[in-house]
Amino acid sequence: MTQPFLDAAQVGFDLDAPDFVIVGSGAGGSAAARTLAGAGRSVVVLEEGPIPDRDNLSRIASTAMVSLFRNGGQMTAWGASNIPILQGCCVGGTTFVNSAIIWRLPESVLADWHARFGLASGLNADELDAAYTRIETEMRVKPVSPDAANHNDHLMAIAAAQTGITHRTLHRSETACEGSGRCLFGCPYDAKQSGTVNYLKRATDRGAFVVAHAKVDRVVLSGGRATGVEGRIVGKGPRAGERFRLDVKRAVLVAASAVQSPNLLRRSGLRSAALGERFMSHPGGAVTGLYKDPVRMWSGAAQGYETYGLRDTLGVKLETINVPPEIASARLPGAGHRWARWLDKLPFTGAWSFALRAEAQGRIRPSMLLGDYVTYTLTERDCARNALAIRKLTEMHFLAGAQAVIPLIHGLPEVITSPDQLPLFDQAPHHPSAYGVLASHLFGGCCAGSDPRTSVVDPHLRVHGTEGLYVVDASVFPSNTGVNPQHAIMAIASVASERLAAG
Amino acid sequence: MTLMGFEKRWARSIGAALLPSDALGSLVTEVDPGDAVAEQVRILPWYSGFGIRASIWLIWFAPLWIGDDPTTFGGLDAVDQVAMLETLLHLDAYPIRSLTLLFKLAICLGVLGRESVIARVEAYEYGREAFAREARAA
Repeated sequence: MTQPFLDAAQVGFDLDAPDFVIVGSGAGGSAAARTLAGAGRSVVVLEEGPIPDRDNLSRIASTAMVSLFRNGGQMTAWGASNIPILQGCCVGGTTFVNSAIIWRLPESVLADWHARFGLASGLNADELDAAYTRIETEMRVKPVSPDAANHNDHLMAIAAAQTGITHRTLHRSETACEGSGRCLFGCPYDAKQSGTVNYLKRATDRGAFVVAHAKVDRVVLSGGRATGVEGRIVGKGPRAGERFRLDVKRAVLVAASAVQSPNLLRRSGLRSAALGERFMSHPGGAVTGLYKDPVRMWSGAAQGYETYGLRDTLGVKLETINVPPEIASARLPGAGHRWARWLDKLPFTGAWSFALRAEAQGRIRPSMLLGDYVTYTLTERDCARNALAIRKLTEMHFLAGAQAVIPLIHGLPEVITSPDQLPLFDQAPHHPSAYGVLASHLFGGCCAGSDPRTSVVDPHLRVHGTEGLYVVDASVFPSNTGVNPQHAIMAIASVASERLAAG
Repeated sequence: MTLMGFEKRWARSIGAALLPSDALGSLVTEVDPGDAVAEQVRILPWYSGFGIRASIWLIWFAPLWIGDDPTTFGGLDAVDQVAMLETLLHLDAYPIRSLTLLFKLAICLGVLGRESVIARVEAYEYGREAFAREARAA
């Protein structure tokens, strides 16, 4: 895996000005690189994180998070409660450490973007559909195979069928999944089709350069036009600490993520009232069920089943997930021998998560102490929907045969032992601090729109008033989507890049 | 960030109360909880390390403001130490509750985040054989 990519910390880099510089190698950056390089344009992708070493990926959560996640997996949104933000920070970005779940942007969301934000000219349905179709073929999207589905998935299927809520096997981008359960810490078998193993590799096969440990500090602007980027080599190696400048012939595409892109533009000297505003997410949490027989949720695909029928009504999507054992342990109740007895039951637990299409909006600012400073507080209505989602998952665990369920709402019993207790959820507090959620799907901060007073990029994803500068990641999404965003990010990046390649 | 020697001793004492030595077939005795917490403080970003350090101080001196005895966590007997941790984990005060949970998470990452524990719970490749067997049976 390491062959196609350059590690700037080890060997530095000295490249001629390419047609396009792409900042960030996650979903947006990798899709843009594949599209532009595929069209014969010269491309350099600059990635702050390291090149993942497939042969030395760790199963241990803290080791994996420190090496592959931003801030060691400890990035936080600050507010009435502290919400952990999980983002990959390596070549491939979050695509390397997610479950590769694929969902097209719902038609209702795109229609809303057209109606409220004037995006029809840049993001039209036909172009997006063509991009989705191509991505699904190239990224080998298919339902989780029966060999990789685990008992945790089977249990959700049983429960969802009884509730009558629409459900299905998850669709992921993978080939020949071995069911190691290690998707969230990087697939050691290259079965998961991350940007790392697929689109970035395709791009380098067509002559693109992908440079790791190259942190872009700012886009160089001259006469209202992006002319290059400046940054420094990070990580460990003989070239670490060196500064670099890379000029560009055509355009800089920023794909540094919803948290980093706004501050990169700010550091570059751009000023907009909309910059860093309207940060959104899908906060979510896991509800654990205890079963009589082993569940072994860490065997098979990390995530294999979803219940999505509540997406349009409650605004939540339910999925199975194999919370890593160490982290699952922290979510078991108690201390001392009471906790120890729960730990012995770990193999008998199954975790199901919810992702909430939250109405809350936050803000991203630079901070001397924290780097990227995110403020974000769930609204009372978000909390009420959190409680309803957790209640539904609790009910479903019992339908699947759970003996006990751990809902993790402060103020309710730690352990629910009977469906007769479900009415207790009516008394769940509607304060963010009562819920232990984290945010993994992030949106906004450089929102797209036709009005430069309320948006950062135009419908073609070009920064308002600046030539040769585009943003092609989830920071341009003017609303959250209610579905896993990787596919939509790749599609909008592909559509914008196709236009650039043709122009 | 680096824990001082006395902070590591406090972390060891709190960790031993939180996670008894016979948990998970005594696998938890393979690593010292003070060392494990200190390692998490060392490798995590400064604000997480600061939070873990704050949690150690908070728990160590909790009996002074939450209990009846003018003593520290180390001055409590084993039963009262566990009771104190349970109390802190359930307090309505979010900062205290969340800091105590952060210490619990640090213990999980540091003490339970090891191959022997992963193997015991048959996670990932360690569960492949049983997974395949049960899949065939199903």
